[in-house]
Amino acid sequence: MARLEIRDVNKSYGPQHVLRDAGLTFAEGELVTLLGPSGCGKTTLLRIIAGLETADSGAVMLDGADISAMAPNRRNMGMVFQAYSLFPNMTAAENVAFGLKVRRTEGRRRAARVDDLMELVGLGAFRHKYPHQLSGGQQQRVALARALAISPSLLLLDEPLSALDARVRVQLRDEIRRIQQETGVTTIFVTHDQEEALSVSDRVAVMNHGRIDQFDTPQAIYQRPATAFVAGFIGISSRLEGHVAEGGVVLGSEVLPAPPDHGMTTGTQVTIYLRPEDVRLSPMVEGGRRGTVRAQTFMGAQTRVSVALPGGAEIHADLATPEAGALLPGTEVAVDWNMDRARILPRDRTAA
Amino acid sequence: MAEAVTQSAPAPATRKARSGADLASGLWILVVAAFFLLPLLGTLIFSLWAGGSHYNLSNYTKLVQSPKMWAALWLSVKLAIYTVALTMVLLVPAVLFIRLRAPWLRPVLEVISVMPFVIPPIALVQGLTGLYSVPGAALALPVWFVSRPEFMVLGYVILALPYTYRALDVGMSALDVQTLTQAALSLGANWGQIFARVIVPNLRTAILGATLLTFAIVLGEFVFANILLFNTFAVYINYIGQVNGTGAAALSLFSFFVTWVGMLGLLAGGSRGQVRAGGVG
Ligand SMILES: Nc1ncnc2c1ncn2[C@@H]1O[C@H](COP(=O)(O)OP(=O)(O)OP(=O)(O)O)[C@@H](O)[C@H]1O
Ligand SMILES: [Mg+2]
Repeated sequence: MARLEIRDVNKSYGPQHVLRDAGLTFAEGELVTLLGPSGCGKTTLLRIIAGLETADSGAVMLDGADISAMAPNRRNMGMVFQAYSLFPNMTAAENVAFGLKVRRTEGRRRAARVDDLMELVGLGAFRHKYPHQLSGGQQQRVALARALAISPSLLLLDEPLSALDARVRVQLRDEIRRIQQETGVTTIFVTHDQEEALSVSDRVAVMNHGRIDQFDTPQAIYQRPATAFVAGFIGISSRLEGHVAEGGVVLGSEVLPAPPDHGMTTGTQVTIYLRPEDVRLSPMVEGGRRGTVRAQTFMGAQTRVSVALPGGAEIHADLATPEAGALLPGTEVAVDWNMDRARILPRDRTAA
Repeated sequence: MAEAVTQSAPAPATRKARSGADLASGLWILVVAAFFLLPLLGTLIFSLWAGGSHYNLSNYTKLVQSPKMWAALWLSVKLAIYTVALTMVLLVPAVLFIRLRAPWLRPVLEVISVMPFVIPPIALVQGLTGLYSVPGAALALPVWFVSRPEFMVLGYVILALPYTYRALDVGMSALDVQTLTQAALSLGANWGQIFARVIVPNLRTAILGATLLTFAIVLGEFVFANILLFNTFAVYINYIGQVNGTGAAALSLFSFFVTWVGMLGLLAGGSRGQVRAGGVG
């Protein structure tokens, strides 16, 4: 087990600044997700931790010691790659045994450990198959077993599920979580899928253009996104623009109550973020906030209804599918939400 | 396989069209076979000729009993082995390094690798002697080395480069060497282990191909040895050709046979490994 700390890491490729003062401290045995859109620097940060890439400045600290200059093959970190990475000339079991072989682990102990790990990832029967005889999901399981075989101080997973279909993804991600909790290994899991991140992590670090925008528990990230980018990225899709005034936030012609501790001065331009499950739609009544249904997106048990407000803003509401049935495009509805559950942030001009 | 499947239930019309196509392709194969086999057949008949209307195996018995022939063949085989060894030691790490760290160097190596096509061997051998073996030359090597036939291995490595480089480069393109080496590194392997356990086993087919081509080139190379006065197999064939026409024909067929046996042997050994490695590499 190990405590990892990343201190103000910067990395540029030519003129492109890929990591900007990225800093994170990990607790022992936790699973942290690096979440961010494609190209935001997740893989680069992971590779710097693994020693496969060197940072321009900053440090990687393991248990208090600076390991920034340590060679990757001495770091004892297990890594699963975005691309399939099993050695094609070896069977599944030989792949898992590789790290132990290069460590000269004694034969009988090695075989026992390989057996244990093949069972752990549910592939006991596939020991003697070559990678090309395994499905993508099975290959990634073997890669996971191979990474765990060396009893790594840190497990690094770089979008191990991105090449798999939706069902296998969900199944394997839950399995990764189970295995991580069973082994208690500190794990960094990279993904660009917010649902994946929120469902498996102890904490999530949301990355935006090489910066860590927020590092917190999934619940906190979802309920209190720190920046407009985080709010947008984790799927809080409705945003309404207004400004701070005495007693609340002015939105068009109404003043909405705002929590007293928002700490923003009067006149500040703000965006109000609403989660789709917090928006209520009801039959139009006198005095209600009027909206016009634009479209519906069927999502199974729920249906997302898009409603245009008079000012032109669009707001999304998730309704139980039977309820949404009557709300055909063009229907006028009353729109309401609970301001306590809204998130109010100063307007960020850079995030669209 | 595919043939059997398509023929199991052919429609009458396509059967007719097919047999026409079969006839045409059969004829074509015959023409091509004749083109390659007739000269061999001619050589074979000539090599069996023993003057007048006598035909026997005397050329062949003389051949296999000639210690000079065996010495020349052994020298060429030895040089081929050294050439392969030096090529692999130099080229596998170089091609890997370029793929991992310096992809911008690839076009450079590509151009260098086809140089032997442009530079005639005669110029190459003069260049090599000028550079390495003239006393006081820029990179003069010790005399005991440049006076040995092994000196020619330096030239042979270059001569074979167009084929060996391409074989290895294609072999590596079929692998994600970047990810594989990084996976091995993260598992604690050092570079020696990465080469021995990951890169080379997966390049098996490519290395085999490069080896075959190198053997063919070195066994047939005449200019270097002739100029530097070493009695290699090709030089020996040429010498016999001048003193004994039918003997040279027998020797040519013999060398043809040696090369083919060698190639088939290597291929058989290689494809066994292929099955084990599961068709990758
Ligand atoms: N070796 C490199 N040379 C030049 N630019 C690079 C290199 N590696 C990464 N980059 C650039 O750095 C940026 C971040 O790359 P990185 O691979 O870390 O993104 P990522 O967050 O992992 O994206 P994805 O989700 O698509 O995997 C990208 O814009 C990429 O083009
Ligand atoms: Mg990536």
